[in-house]
Amino acid sequence: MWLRNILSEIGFEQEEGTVMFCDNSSTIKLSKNPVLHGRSKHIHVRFHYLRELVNDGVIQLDYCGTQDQISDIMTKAVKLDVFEKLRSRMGVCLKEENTGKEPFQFKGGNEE
Amino acid sequence: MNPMVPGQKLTKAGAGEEVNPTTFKQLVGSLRYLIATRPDLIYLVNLVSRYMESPNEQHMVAEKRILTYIQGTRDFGIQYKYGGEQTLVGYVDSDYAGDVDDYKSTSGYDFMLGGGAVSWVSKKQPIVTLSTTEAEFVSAAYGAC
Repeated sequence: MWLRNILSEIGFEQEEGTVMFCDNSSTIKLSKNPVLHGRSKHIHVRFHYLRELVNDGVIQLDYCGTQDQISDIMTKAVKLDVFEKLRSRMGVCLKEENTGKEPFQFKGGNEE
Repeated sequence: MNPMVPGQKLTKAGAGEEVNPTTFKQLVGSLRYLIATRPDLIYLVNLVSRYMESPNEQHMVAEKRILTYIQGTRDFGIQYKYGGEQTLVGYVDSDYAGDVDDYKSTSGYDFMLGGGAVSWVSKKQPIVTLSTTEAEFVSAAYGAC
C-alpha cells in the first residue's frame, strides 16, 4: 500500500491492482470470502484489512507454485540451486565490469 | 556456496561455549547495513539477530558463514533493466512455526519492479499462529499494509 502511494507520488501510478503471489490457496480463498469457521475465527481483526483491500481491487492475491515463490528466500533456508535461482530472479547478480560499452548518457541538451 | 544450511535450526540454547556478545552484536550491526542492497542476505541476518542476547558457538558459526558468503559475492548487486516491467508485483510467504523456541512464524515479502527487487522484508511474526493458512494470511496482510 505505502509502496503504491510512493510510486504514484513519483509519477509511476499503478493503474491496476497490485498482484501479490502467495503459495497457499486457502489463504487466497479466505481473502475473498469471509467464511468464518473454527480455525480462522481467531485471526485478529486487524488482519482483515487485507480482505478489504482485496474486495476493493487494490490488491489481488494470486497463487504461484513453490518453485516460483521468490519470498521463500526470505523465510526459510533453501537448497543451493533454489537459492541461486531465486537470487537471480530478484535481480541480484555480478556487476558487469568493463563491458566495453560507452557509459550511458542522457540525450538532448545544448547541441551547437 | 550456500550461506544457509538447509534443515538446520538454530535455537536459543545453541551449542558450544559462549562467545563475546559485543563482537557478535557488532557483526550483526554491520550486516544490517548490507541488507539495504542485498535482498539475498535478509533471512540470515534476520535469523542471527535473534540470538544477540546470549550468543554462543553455534550462532557464531552461522554468522561467520554469512561473512564467508559475502566474501565470495562481494561484487553482487541488483540490476534493474531499462524498459523492464513497470507494474509492481509482490510475493508473500511465511514459514509456519519456524522458530523452535517459541513457535512463531516468519513472514517475508518482496516487491519487484523493473526486473529487480525494490522492497523486501523478513520478520518474525509478533503472534503465535495456529495454522499455515493463518501464518500465510498474517504475512499477506503485513505485505499489503
